[in-house]
Amino acid sequence: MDEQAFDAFYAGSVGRLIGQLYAMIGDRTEAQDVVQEAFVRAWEHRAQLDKDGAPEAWVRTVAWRLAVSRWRRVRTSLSFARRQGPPPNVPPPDTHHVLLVQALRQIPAAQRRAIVLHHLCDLEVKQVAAETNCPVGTVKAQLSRGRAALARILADTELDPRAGRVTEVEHG
Amino acid sequence: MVDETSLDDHLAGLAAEGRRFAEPMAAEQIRVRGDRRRRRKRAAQMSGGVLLAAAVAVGGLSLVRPGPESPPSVAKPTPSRNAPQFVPPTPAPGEEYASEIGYVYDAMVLADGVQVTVKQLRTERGTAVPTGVVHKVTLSPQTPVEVEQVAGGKPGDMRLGELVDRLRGGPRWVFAVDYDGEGRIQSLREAFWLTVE
Repeated sequence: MDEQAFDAFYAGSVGRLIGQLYAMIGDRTEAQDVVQEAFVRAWEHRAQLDKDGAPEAWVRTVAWRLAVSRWRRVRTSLSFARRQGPPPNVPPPDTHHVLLVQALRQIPAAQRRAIVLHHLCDLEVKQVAAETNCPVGTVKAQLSRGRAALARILADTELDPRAGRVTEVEHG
Repeated sequence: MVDETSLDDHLAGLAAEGRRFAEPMAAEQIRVRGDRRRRRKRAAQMSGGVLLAAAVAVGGLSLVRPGPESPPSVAKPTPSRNAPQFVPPTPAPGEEYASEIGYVYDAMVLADGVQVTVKQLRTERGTAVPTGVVHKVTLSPQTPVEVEQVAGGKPGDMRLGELVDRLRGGPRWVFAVDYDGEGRIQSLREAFWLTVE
């Protein structure tokens, strides 16, 4: 992959990957950081990227691993707070998104990752299995348990379709 | 939310928000940082090679030079009963950690940390089978641990020091043990998704 091809790949996928990682980890700034760092490593290992033939999946996997690594580092030190500086001047997230992020954070990371890969990145179960290095059966179980857990957590909130119907009835 | 279509829509909305407010660096800056990382690594490898060469030379000299008889070693020899021997896993390129799967048990509080025994497992189609490798490690009580079943089924984060009582007995809980590039354990994650044979 030469400079031109890399720049085109970066421009075409960085926003999408930041969105996907945001859904996986629930923090916009962190998502941007890990995706950019993953692209740095992608350029560093560009020969391997050419061989794999799936550079976007490679970057997404590395970004996810970096996010997981950072969580661990953050738990053992305060480097995260020092690194960030003042928060950027961006509007607060949509209230529905806050609810969804809070719900996603309550389910295990492996289920969250599987749900985002399947429902947002449109990967088939076997592709999710390949990307997460898990058996297909495990991915199916993660998806099923994750969806059930989200349904439980979001029951009777604004994101529960049943809650919307009840409100319509109540308002006549 | 049980409805998969609405889950797709909500996630798409969330991702769109992440995309909308992203201000990524220019591609050129990314490449510059990638090149810098590569140069740093190469430099580290070269200096490592020089150090190794120096160590070999010094070692070689001490072999040929007659010297005073060396004092008996204070350190106890490594027990040989734990064959095959344990070698810490090394992170793959692009990864910061490499994981070992194993039962973590027999926890004991020592003066310098918490000692645990790791009975290594390997996964075969989602099922874990023992490899025969068993080793002991002493970790900081502050070592972060991702828990679920060991904490009563609720996912959460704990410190190893808080789990000593639950890890005190024989092999029961399976964890992924994360090693950094230096072979140090940085965290444990309960591998509740594995079925153990």
